[in-house]
Amino acid sequence: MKKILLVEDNLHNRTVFETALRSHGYDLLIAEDGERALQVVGTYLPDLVLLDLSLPKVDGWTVARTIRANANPQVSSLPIVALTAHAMKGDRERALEAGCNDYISKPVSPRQLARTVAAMVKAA
Amino acid sequence: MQGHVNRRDLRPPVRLSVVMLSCGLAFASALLLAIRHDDDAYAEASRTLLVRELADAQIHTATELLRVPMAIGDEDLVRLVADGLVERDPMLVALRVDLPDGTSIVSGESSSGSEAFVGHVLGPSADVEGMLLGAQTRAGPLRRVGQIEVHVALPAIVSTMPAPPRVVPWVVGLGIAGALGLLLWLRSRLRKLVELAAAVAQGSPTASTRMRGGDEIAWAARRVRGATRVVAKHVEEVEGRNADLLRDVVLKEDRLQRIAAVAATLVAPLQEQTLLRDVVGPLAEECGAGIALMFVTTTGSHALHCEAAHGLERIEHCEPGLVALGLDLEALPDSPTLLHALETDHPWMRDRKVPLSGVAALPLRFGGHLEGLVVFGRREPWTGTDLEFMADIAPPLAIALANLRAYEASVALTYALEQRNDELVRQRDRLEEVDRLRAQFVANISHELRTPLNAIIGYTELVVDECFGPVTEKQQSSLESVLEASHHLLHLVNQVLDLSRAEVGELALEVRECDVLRVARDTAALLQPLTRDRPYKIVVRGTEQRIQTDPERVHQILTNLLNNAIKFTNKGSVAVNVVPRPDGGVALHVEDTGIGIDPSHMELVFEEFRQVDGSTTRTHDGVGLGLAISRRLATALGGSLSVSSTLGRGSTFTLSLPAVVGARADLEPAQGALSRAS
Repeated sequence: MKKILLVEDNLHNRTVFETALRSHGYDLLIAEDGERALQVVGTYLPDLVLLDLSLPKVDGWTVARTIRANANPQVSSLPIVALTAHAMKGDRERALEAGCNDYISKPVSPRQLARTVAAMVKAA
Repeated sequence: MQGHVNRRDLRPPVRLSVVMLSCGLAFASALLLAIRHDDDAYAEASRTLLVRELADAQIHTATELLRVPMAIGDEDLVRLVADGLVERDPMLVALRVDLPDGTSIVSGESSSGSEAFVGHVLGPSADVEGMLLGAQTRAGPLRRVGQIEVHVALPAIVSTMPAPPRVVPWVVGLGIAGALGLLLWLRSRLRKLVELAAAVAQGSPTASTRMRGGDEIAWAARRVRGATRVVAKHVEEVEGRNADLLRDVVLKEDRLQRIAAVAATLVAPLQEQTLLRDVVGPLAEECGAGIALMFVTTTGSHALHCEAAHGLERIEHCEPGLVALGLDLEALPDSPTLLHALETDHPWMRDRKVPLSGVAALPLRFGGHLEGLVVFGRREPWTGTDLEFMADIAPPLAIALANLRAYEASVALTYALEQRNDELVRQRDRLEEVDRLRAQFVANISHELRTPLNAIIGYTELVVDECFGPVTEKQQSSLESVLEASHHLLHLVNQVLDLSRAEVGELALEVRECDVLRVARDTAALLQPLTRDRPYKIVVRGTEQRIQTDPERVHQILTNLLNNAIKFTNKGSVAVNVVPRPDGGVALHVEDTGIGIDPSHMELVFEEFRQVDGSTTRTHDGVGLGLAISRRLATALGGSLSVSSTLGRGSTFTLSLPAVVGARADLEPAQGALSRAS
């Protein structure tokens, strides 16, 4: 079973993404802020990180950069998909620059999310 | 002395000429006489000799050949010979000798006259030395009797006869000696003349070169000496004049140096007070003026105010003093003008006891404009040189004043420009800050709108997909409506963001070559469902039109236009006409037969958040952003969006696109902000 680390602070969005992904058979670990995400990513070692960017404590860009800078190559090479409501010009570039492999702007429909995640996990 | 020349003085004496002519004539006469004398003496000697020879000659008859010496043309001699022959020869009656010149000599009596000699005229012989003799004898007919021949050579005769006195060589010798003497004398005279010329050339004709005598050479020498004296006098005059000129030049140079000294002070400082103080003092000193006042035209008027005064204790008296002079400034000529003496009651004379009799006003004009006025005063009257100096110094002073004025104006202008520039920079900074805040605000709004939309769409889809259990058909369709509304809301959010981006010029364009007709067809096909409750279909007309543009944005504009057209057209038709433009671009006309637009609202339709009529807002949904965004997009593509309409008959929106997207798509945010401000 593929493991996904979902980093999302908004309860509703977290519920939607979680429900959608679990219904497609993924194993999910939820982090509500960036600090928590960084604490668990090394031990959990997911197949994919879905990362909101506006997060309490440690923001998503820092999370992405910190993961990429991790000494453990299994951690630093994790595929990260930014999942954010920052949809202005340049936001996509900023996310990729921080180390994300892909970028999905909110709102995203559960069907679309499932398709993207499937493609990413398969590729990884 | 000079100029007028007495013609008589120019006529040389004739003494030498007369002497030489007389000597020549005397010599020639003497020579002729000597020749004649020598000839006569010679002839006489010859004749004497001939008679002696004849006496000795063995001539018996005339028939014998006569061989007697004789001189040519000596008729006497011939006659002598002929007579001698007639006497000796009894047979001879007469003898005739025909001479070469055609004459004849007849000796004896001729009985039968000249007839007797006919046939004996033997004619002049070609031989000039001999003559034929014809003779008539008593006995017989005429016969040839012989020939008189010059037989004896002249030198022989000469040698045998005593030498006659010869005068010619003596005369010739004397002539040569005389000529030599004359030549030597002339030579010495000429030498003296040359010495004189040399002395004249050296400029010192002395007494030693003086020539005495009344001859032509002495005359010429005297003339030269006279001319030398005249030249010397001329030289003296020229030298005198040169000295005058030199004095003039020195004076002029001095004046130029004084002008240069004043001019040097004109270029250094550029503050009026300093300039004028620095100039007026030296100027007064150069002129030898006791007082000097400089008045300057007040900028923007013709009034003069005193800027600097030299030799005046109280500056407050300057301007009243000028008024007291009663000058008509307009009537003043450009040259310095002499004024009446300043009496002790004049305002400038408060501290002075002696009147100033030399007062001169010097207007400073540049380009016909009176820049200022300088008044000089001193006890002595002004001289021409002083006035010339003033006239010379006026133009540079006027230029300096004009420069000063221009410089002050430029300084003021520069200051104003700097102020304006600072203000603009502040404005720009403020606008940039406003733009930054705005962008931040829009980004925040976008984020805050998207986050709940994500939840709404997500939950709804999950329910529809029965993730939370089965749903009824009624619930299903309701939830589909929720989804549709959510997507519409998302569309609106995107539109607002697009509008905001277009305003700050951040619109991202993806330009590539594409067929605009194809874009129009695809857009129409996508929007055909909107006409399902209308009695028409969208019609697209035209031919392939390939240009460089962003097809996505063209599609977006067309979608907006067609949406509107369908929204406001219940019956009739909606059509897109794709036509090429002369400049290589393309025009897309979206025509409808809808409600049309009131002419007074024609431009309002492109404003944000506006729908033409409050009453139509209720019957037609939308927030009124579509046309505003479309126009901004068209502008970003380098094109334009315009409308023509007849109220109640329909509207035509025209999107004009260039062949290649221009630079306008790359507008910087600040420029976008400025264009909005305007």
